[in-house]
Amino acid sequence: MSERPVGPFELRIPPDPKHLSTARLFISSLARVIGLDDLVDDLRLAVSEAVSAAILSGSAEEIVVVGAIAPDGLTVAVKPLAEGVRSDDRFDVGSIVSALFDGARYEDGGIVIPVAGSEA
Amino acid sequence: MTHLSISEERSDDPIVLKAVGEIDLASAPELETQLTSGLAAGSVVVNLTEVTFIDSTGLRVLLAAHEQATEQGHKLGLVVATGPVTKLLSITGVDGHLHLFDSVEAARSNV
Repeated sequence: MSERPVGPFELRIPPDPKHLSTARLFISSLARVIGLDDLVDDLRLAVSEAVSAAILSGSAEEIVVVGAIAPDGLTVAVKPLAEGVRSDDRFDVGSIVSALFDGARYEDGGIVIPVAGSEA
Repeated sequence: MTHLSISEERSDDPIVLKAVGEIDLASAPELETQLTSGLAAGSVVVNLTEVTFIDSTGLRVLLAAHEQATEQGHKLGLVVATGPVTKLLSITGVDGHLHLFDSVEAARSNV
């Protein structure tokens, strides 16, 4: 069995839409390294929603995506992001992320997404 | 730089556009521009089968275009295959609000 990386891994990007694809690549690479291949598409969507909302909030100087590896999966955090950003809209970021990952929550100035590996 | 390319597959009625790549906050404006100008002339079919990523920003553009089409008495037909597009449509519950088809031919004869 190959050794799991330890982390946490962190990506810091300016609040510019052109960096969204980098954020998706970051999270999908990390998920693949720890064998969460089945969850890559859902993770890309969740992170893209969270980073987009953080960009559109207009208040972030820098957006941080953190991937912390846990024994049974991965915990992803995107900040800064407050509850209610884009909530006037029909697609609230919190509801989309929650639909993808149970237990997603706003915490510590951002959104926290627990990702459990099915076979971990 | 965007990771989306949009080409016109057919220029008769309805216009058929094909989107290839990723639709997000960076690339959605390009799709919006093409849809707005296409729908100003008539009904439009968009082939989304080679879209590898879409998020709610892209979905907003599709829904706005659908509404624009309806207001103008035109139709917007979306061609989708199993993948990121159908997944997002399903979790957001808007699949019933759009005209979805599984082939360009089916879309062309129904819009």
